[in-house]
Amino acid sequence: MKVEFINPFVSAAFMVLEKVGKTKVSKGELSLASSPIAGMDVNTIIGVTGDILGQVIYSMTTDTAQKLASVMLMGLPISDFDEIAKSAISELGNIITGNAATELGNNGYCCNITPPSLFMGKEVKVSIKDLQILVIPVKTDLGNISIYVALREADK
Amino acid sequence: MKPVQVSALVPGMILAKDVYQNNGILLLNEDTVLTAELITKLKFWGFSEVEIQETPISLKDQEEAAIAPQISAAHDRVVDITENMMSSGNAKDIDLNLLRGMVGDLDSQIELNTNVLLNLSHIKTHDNYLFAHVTNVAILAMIIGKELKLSEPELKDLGLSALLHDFGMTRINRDMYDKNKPLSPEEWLEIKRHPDYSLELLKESGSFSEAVLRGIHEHHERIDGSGYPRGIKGADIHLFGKIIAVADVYDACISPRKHRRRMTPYDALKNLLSQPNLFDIKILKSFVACMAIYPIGSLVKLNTGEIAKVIGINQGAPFRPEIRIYLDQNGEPVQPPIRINLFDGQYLQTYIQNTLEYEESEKVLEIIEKNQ
Repeated sequence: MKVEFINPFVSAAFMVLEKVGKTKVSKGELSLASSPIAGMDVNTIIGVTGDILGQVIYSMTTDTAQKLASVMLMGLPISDFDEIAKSAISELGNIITGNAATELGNNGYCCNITPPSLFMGKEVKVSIKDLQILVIPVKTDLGNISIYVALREADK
Repeated sequence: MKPVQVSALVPGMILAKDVYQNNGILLLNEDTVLTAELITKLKFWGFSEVEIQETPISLKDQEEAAIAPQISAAHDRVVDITENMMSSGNAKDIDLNLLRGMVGDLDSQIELNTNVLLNLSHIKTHDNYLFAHVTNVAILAMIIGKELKLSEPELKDLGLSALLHDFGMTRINRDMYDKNKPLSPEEWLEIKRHPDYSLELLKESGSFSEAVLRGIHEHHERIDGSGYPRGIKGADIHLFGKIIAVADVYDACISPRKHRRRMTPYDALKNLLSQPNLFDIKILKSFVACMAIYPIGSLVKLNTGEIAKVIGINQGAPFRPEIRIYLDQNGEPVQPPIRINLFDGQYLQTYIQNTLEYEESEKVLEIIEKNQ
């Protein structure tokens, strides 16, 4: 996978988590993952179509998800991961991916994104066929988030 | 349907046909309202021409234009009738059947189109704050009640309680609550008596249930006991009191008063959500579920740099409302303004970056009004 597909996600994640999540952000070492991916409790999956095809997955613990949701809901306490908290976490993934997609467009790869799907539970495994999967580990004050990026250029 | 060169597309045009990529992937649906961002994409993808609809007015706009006058008239009627009935501050002047009828009217307006109704309660200003306020609070309280799945009779009682929640205010000199400077401590003490006045006046008539009376009497009580008149806490406060409290504070915040400017809808919501020690968390959650994060009337800046107003809520998607784009990324008015639903797939890359602060918000509202 091209590095130029990854960088927009790193910068988008930093920008969005700092602004929307109001937290400090740092990045760990990038690594390769193999399919199926076994993420943490809360996984947001968003597809990318157009000049670039594939999936992006944002994975975090329930605790991190609740804390992030609470910040996005202006301080409303979130003690269970209910519908409103789920919509906040979906939107977070949507914003990061949307930002990255816009950046990819500026770099000559024009793409669309699909609506986020949220999968819960440690047992969830996501299979991604025939695509290299890169993991971006992101550290925040609210907990760690793993971003799995599996993208390829579309056949013209 | 007419073919239009991609170079000649302008935001607001509506696609008459689906647009596919060479490899068969659907890029944009029929009926998609084109934005500056989507037009750039079409150019980038190398399209030379697309099919555009002849009339650039969305179906939803046509639908809402048809029902708006009806909803507006019903809203006015409730304000007028409550004013006639309650101004005297005499419980004998309250016609309970008429009042129940109005609660029924509000209920059917909510059923008909909540979005249009909420847009209205943000725009309308009345000479007499009090009666526009009780009408709006009744609407908001009943919307919350529906979200909480209250039974039909409970909902009607809640509406009644909300319409009467400030009845005791009629006993207080209007100059006091409608004046243009902050209250003195003595005046404040007097204002704080209004829930007791309401209870006293309405209890006598014997026509109201305990739930209705408690909603009225306890709408200024707060979960942590810091409210008035009795300073009761959490579980001791009646559900109606807790619901009306949230509706009351929200409407009070977004309404301009003589002694202070109004808050933006977003700030008014933030004011509630950031004080979970004062309000019932379950009710706050229901309130966000129906009002969403960017409530109707909010002016927002998109990541594209455009400025839009929130005009509709998508249930279950509190961050992705329906909006109307009024200013382009250079701050120039978009004519006619473009209505898009951020929940629709083709706009997923667009999101709300922030809400406008009060001053900027008022400036944009002025521009919108001037161009209408």
